[in-house]
Amino acid sequence: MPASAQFEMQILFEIAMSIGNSLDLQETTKAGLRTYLRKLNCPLGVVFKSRDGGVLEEIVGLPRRAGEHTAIEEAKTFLKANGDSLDKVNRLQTTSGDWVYTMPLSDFGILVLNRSDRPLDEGMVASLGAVNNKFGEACWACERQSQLVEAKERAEAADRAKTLFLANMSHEIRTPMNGVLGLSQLLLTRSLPERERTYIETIASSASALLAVMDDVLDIARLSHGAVDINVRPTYIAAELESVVEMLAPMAIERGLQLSCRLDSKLPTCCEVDIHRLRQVLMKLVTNALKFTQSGSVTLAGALAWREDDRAGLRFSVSDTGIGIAQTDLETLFEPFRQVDNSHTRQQQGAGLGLAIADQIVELLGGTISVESAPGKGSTFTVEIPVVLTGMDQQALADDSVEAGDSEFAGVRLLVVDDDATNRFVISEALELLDIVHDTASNGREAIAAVQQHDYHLVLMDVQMPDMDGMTATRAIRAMDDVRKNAVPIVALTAHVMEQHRYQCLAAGMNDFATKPIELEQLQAVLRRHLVIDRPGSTGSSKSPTDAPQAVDWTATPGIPSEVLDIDQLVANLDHIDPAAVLQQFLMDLKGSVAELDEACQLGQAASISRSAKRISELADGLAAPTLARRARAVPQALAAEGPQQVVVQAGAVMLEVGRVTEALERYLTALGAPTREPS
Amino acid sequence: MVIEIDKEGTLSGLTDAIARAVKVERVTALVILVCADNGFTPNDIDPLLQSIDLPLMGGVFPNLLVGRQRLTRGSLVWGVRRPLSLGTIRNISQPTIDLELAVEQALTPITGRALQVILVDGLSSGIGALMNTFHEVAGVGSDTIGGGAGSLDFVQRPCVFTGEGMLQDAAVIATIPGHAGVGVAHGWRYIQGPYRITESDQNTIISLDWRPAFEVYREVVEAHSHQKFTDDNFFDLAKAYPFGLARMDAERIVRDPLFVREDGALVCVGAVPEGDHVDILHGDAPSLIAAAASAKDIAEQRLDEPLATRIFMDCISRVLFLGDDFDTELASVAVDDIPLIGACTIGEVANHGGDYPEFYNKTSVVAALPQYTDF
Repeated sequence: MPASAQFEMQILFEIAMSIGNSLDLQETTKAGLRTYLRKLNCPLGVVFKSRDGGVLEEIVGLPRRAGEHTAIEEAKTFLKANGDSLDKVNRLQTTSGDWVYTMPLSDFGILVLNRSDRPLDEGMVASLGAVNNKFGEACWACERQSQLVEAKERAEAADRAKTLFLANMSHEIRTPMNGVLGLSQLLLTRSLPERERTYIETIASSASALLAVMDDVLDIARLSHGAVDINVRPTYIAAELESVVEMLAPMAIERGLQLSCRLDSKLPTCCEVDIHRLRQVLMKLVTNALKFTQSGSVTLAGALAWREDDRAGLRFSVSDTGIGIAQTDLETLFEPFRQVDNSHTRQQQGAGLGLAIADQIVELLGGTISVESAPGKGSTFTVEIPVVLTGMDQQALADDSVEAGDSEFAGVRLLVVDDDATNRFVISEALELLDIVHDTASNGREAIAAVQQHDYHLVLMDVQMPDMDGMTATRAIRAMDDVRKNAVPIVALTAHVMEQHRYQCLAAGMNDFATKPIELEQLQAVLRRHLVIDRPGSTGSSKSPTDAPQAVDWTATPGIPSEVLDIDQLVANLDHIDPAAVLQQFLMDLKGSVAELDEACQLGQAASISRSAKRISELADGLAAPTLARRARAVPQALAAEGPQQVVVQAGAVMLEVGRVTEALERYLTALGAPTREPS
Repeated sequence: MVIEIDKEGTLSGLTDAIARAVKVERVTALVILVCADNGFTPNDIDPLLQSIDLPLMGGVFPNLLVGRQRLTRGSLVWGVRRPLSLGTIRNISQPTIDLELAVEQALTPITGRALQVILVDGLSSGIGALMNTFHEVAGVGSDTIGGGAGSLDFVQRPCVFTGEGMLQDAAVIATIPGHAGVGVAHGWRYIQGPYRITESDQNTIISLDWRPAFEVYREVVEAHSHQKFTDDNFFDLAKAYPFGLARMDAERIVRDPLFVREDGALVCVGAVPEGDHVDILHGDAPSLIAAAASAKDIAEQRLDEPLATRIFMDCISRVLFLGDDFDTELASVAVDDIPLIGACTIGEVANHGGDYPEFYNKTSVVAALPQYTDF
């Protein structure tokens, strides 16, 4: 090969290799153009994109303002006057004697290069054609990538809007439903004529059905956004399975079906599992089985699938003698919005989301779900999940479920805060049934005044209220000087059901979170959690806050999963330092950083989001809270990848976990005998 | 043009030269060039630089050029009589620096043509990026001349003068209204290549055609020179065999290999972009001297008006290569009594506005300044 030809090849190769190393249009055009200029010894050049009608849009010029240079202006004028020249190489001599080349870049646009002293070799110009095409195609790829990114962002924004809409609709529906369900339940406690009782029962069951559909829709939205967290705790699995059967027994009786629970003798007594989610799955499977079985039986079975040291696999199956499912339908059974019978005359109601929700939850639990079925031969759904076995003694759990008598809450005084008169009435009626003295307030301002005036044992606080919302009121109460006021347990009672609302309430200083409509049993459970009731054998209230810290009795802090707070590591981290003072400071710092993160997310301030997330991860390391540390570290990564508007999910997960860590720490501090309130 | 010389290379001599220059009517700024062998340290010279009320730029160079003399000790002060705008760019090799912003702030936009003088730490690894950014921001309307400061022991240390003192890993840019003719030539010829730079890091060639760079280089140089590389003769042999980076219709950009790393990588003066091809070049005294004369001729042709002064920035490696013949090279540029000032540099900067600006090595750069504009 002649030396000059080899030299040209070398130049062409170098230009070609510099093209397409990025998917950003500006970066790609700038890097490519710079190599053209350097290698062809051109002082300036511009890449134009061809728009409809022969309009040239400058993408990049080197040096800056190259597009305004006389030589480039003259080239543009030439191209405008000779539209048919856009797709071929043109060489022009400008009025100042410079040489200008216009070269087509595939279908993307035009490259304009300026040479000052002498024109380029004609052979070289011809050889550049293939390189120019590569440059044009690389530019196209960048533009296409940019369009795809924009489309994805638009789709994600629409998806976020949909989720927000669902959350808002949930709130709007739940508020009136609280009235419908609550009052129906209260009415059903009274003696009613048979016909009216039937009416009220129908109202209650219709409202429950509507609520169930709405919960399904909301659940699928949460699951598809990864906004559902798994919270494992020690659980007596057999009791939970039996309770599922108990709860659905009325439905089985109504349909004339036999519903039974079969427990394998090797089923572990106690294991760590997210029982709330597992119950959700089993309830859906059993409900479905009851719905689609005309006669015969439905059986919920629990068995040990495998065991390895302290880990095990649990297998749950729901078998029915129902209509069965055709092979073709089995393939799409777990897809959302699919129903086996899609006809207008289908016999069963529902949104068609139950199995999709069950499938996604089982996946979150790390397990699998499968089905065996044939038309007319019934179906068997099998769920297998991994669990960690615990050696917790049965008495510890039994203590949690101690039954209280009718006078359990005697002497207790509550404040009910809600702007909705119906809601206040419903709660008031329920509290009266429980013999609980209570006052009411219709907004946060009235609540503050009431707390200043009286000493309450607990406040049930609505969140969204006119004049002053529940979170602002909670912060004001926590800021009061009087410890009898600022330490009052505050439980959010709200129609907001999204996870971030739960955190926001906890971050504002509330102790717990319950959703409307609340049933009587749930209300009792909440009150039991937060009211210290003196009864024989009770140990909860016997400890004085001023007791000196003592050696930790690990059995006194049951149920704190090491993923949330690794107590052993925490003790090692503290290294003989007085834990009470240090951990309270940690708690304060954690809450402060979370408040900063929350505010930064709302304002879209990337630097603050990153800073506060980093601080939280450091605090989490110090506290031995591995899940929190991991989630906090995920925030800057998501921030870098997706920008400040997109980190809400990650930040929400951090905030939620902070709630768990805070609760665990407070339990630990209580076990140590240390006060759990922040020093004022 | 006001030129004051101190041939002793002492601090007091430099102080006196500065004092003489600033006294001259209409001197508004100073360009101060000193020889590395003067041994000035920041402790010596920073207080002096900080005491000068006029804007100033300058640097430490291996040798200075004054008329037909090459000074190995001494100082040169150019009292500039045109309005001069100065900008300093620090930490040019740091990955965190926003070079675009730094160059933007260092350059003063002016209307019409300008002479830009760039003095840069010649051992900085950020020179390639600096030159690209300089082209992007400064545009094509100016004549540019300058060079790399430093000393022949190739140890990077503070070497660029500013009003705040001596800086390392920095560049200083002066913009002076007016124009000049600029010529560039080197005279090195192709002997072998091309080799693809398959891995590099700024100014270091790590591999050529996927082989350790020194392995390839050694084969060619030893075969051509009939000499062997030993532990202590790398630069003596390498100074006659630079690399050449290809570009169209212009002389190759020369890259001077300074030393070989333990892993066989070759550290050069100036950027060696990955993906580029290099040839190995060689030259002799006649070809190099002819190139220097050619650079002078091109500069004067481009000026195309009566000449007042020549600025000659010539690579120190040419001095090392030519030995006594360097006097002939200098004489081929200083052909008459027209004043000539300059330096033997570690890399050269030049552009006449019609080329893509580059940082050269082993190259002769001449700027011809006109009579009608009193620089």
